[in-house]
Parts: sequence; C-alpha cells; structure tokens
Amino acid sequence: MKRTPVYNWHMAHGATMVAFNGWEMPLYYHGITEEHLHTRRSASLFDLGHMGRIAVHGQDSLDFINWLTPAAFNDAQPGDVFYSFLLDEAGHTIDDITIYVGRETQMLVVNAGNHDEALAWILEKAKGWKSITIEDKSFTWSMMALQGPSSGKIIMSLPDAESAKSLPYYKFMTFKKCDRWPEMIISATGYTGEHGYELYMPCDSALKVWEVLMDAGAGGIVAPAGLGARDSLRLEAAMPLYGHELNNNTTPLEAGLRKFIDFKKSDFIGRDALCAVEQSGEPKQKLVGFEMNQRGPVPRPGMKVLSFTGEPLGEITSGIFSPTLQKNIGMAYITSPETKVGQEIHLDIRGRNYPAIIVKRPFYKRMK
Amino acid sequence: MDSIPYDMKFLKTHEWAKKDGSLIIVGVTDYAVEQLNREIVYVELPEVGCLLKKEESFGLIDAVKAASDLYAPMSGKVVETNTEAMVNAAIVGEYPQNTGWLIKIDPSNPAEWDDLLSPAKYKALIESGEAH
Repeated sequence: MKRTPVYNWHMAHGATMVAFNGWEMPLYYHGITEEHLHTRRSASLFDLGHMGRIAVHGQDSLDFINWLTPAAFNDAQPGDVFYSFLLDEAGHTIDDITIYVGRETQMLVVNAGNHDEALAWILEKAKGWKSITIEDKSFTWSMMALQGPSSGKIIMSLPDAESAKSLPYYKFMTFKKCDRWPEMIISATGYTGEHGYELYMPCDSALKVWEVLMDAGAGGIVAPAGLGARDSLRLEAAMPLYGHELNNNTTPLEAGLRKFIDFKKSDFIGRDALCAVEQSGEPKQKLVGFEMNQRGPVPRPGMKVLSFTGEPLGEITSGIFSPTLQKNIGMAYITSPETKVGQEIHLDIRGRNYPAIIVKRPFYKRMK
Repeated sequence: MDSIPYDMKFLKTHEWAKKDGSLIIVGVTDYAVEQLNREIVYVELPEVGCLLKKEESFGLIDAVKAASDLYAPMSGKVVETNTEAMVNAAIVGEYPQNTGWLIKIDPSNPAEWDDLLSPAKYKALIESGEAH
C-alpha cells in the first residue's frame, strides 16, 4: 500500500484510514459530516498525494495536448488550468483530468485509480512526437487542496501571498524555491464547490507546507478533511467522479459535460465519435440530478431508477444524505431522453420504491 | 468497551434486547454504531402491529457510508416504534442503548430470550475481532 508524505501526520491525528486505489488515505478524522460542514463554513485541508501528476515536456507539448484532449486549447496561455478528458477513439472516457499549461512543460493531473492506464495511454500516443518526453512526477511531487470560504485568508501565510490569494478561478502560479519555501505550484481550483486552492510541491516538503497551512488556520479556522467529505462535497457541487458518472463506456456528452469539448478544433482523439453522437441527436443516455423530498434510505450507486409508473429508466451513479441540504440527493443515468427537471421518478432502494424529483444541478452553489 | 449493560441480551448481528415488563425493547448496540462512526442518517422501522420472526429483518439503519439490516432478537408483535428515532436518526448514533431504542415487541415465545447472547458472550464476540 502506498503512503503520501503526510501519512504520519494523519496517523498522529487519529485519522480513520482507508485503502483507495492502492493508497492508504484518510477517510475522516472525526466524522464525514462534520468535515463536510466545516469546509462549507470555514476551510479544510485535503491530502491529495494519491492523485497522479504527469509532466509532458517539449516544444511541441502544447500541440500534443491539444490533439490528445478535447480541451479548448487553441488560445491556451501559460498559467491557465483546463478541466478535460483523456478520450479513446470511441469518445469514451479513459480519465477526467486537469491540465496546467506552461511554456514547454504541461502538467496533467489524473485520478489515482487511472494513473497506470492514463500514463500508458499518454506514452503510447506520444510515440509519434519526436520532441515530447513524458515524466511521471506522481512519486516525486505531492499535492494538497485547501478549500472553503476562509482559504484565501490562510493562503496569505505563503510566499508572495497577495498574488496567490488573488488568483482567478482556474489559473495557477509557479513559486520559485526560496530560503523558507520549496518550489510550489498553486492553482485556484478544487473539487468541493467552494473557493479554494490546490497546491503542488516536491514530496520532501509536502509535510512542511501541510503544517504551515494548519498553523495559519489555527484556532479552528482550518481542519483536516478526508476522502469521505471530499466525495460528499463534490456530489453537492454535482462534479463527476470517475467510475461513477464517467467510465470507459461513457462519453462526456452523456455526462452533460459538452461545454468542455471544443468541437471547433479540427482534430483531437475521439472527435469523430463525439461528432457522430452529436449528429445522431441525443446521446443514448443522460445524466440527471435528483433529490428526495421525503425521508428515506440513502440512494447508493447501482440502485435502479424507475418511472413513476414502474418502467426501468436507469441507474444511480452517486448518492448521499446531503449534509448541507439535509435531504437525500444523487445523480443517475437515465435512458429516456424526454426526462425533464421537475419530473417525478422512483428509486428502487433495497426492494422498495421511494419517490424522487429530477432537479437542476448543482445541488449546492456557493454565495459569491 | 464499557457500555454493555448487564440487563441486556444480544444477537451476533448487534441488536440488543431488554425486558420491559412482559415486553421486549430492541435497539442496536453501541459497538455497532461506533463501527458506523455514529453518523446515522436514517432509520426505517416496521408498522405497529407487524408480526416479526426471530432473526428476520425488520428494518434498516442507514449511515453516511453504508446501510445495515436490522434483525429481530425474538418473535412477536411490534407494539411500539420509536417515532423520535425515525424523525431524528442521529439519536440512534448518539444513544443507541437508551433514547435511541428502535421497537418494542410483545414476544410470542418468551423462551427465545434464553437463546440470546449474554453480555459476557457478546463482549467476547466483539473483542474476538470476528464481529462485523
């Protein structure tokens, strides 16, 4: 089992650990609900050392990524972050990723569970590109996320704090190594629906950065949060999770992520297949959000969705009791294209039917 | 584990039973909710009047991460359900052996009481590490 540089800190702070894609990660420290609500109210620090970090070097690296992914890369500038996908030729999702745009080095952040497949795919596709070299930095660099309305205050403890604090959404900065600080990348990104940052640094300084951020938010402003809260936060924000809303049998179009596909580009892997889906009208299934307005058991992935007359409609991909909304919410793939917001559906939970309503996503939107 | 009352008996599926006159009060054990990190979000209980068979499922408790079936320690008729626990499932997480009780049964075969695990046997079960 792999461990991040912050592993010993988690153990010393009473974390309940869980095996997650070959990594031993904190599920929670005190409780998932408490950590979830603290993130919405103040700020939380998440260890993301398990995620994969792959650097693509070379003068053609921008062109390579532009072809490798459907991101709107034609006017990409150094300092931009893109949410995108690795697609196969059928338009199916190998992974959902973020791309950090540099001059001659691009960084791709991939899911821990897809690290090996994503790396193999990128290496394979880079074969025809002479100037490109691929470097897996997953085990030399680490990563953490500071999320929540108070995260701006806490980031002020870092070098060149003003510029870090005022980073626009989906932009990043690189901080050079100095006496007090390691080399670091900070982006205004996250997976919680809150204002926040993701930070990257060499593994040997990750624990130090973690402790500095914890100290900067001492007195209850910042608290550590585990993967349990990370999942419930992203679900309230209706962000997709690979293996749930996305998989290697699903296109981003079905997941409702069309705005991340740049059809204006003349070529990217999977473009022809996605164009064919577009031309045929509706994708074969679509992702919807639902909520249960009456009390009921928690809807869980894999449970069936029925029409209110009992016809099979699809399957739940994610579901929780929402700590913020105090009701059950979830997402599901539905095969019926006429399904609309406001429509009543039934959920088959452990052999009994419970009513739910299709609602707009996200379930939770922060006040700006 | 200091929270195994001497006047309760148990199923190995972590339900407790306690005598209340001729009735039996049923709940889930402190150990069981501790395994769920006490984050109970929903409790589903049978209707009053429902007939239960020993070790048959009578409802479920749902925690943040997983749901668990509930099993009847004894056969009999459900004469009362804890409506407070249905409205505010958190009390089952906080006080599972007290105000977080679940149902009261009028037992049809009081001799089944003798088949239940004693506090000492239940303690041994959870300390053996074989409990789930």
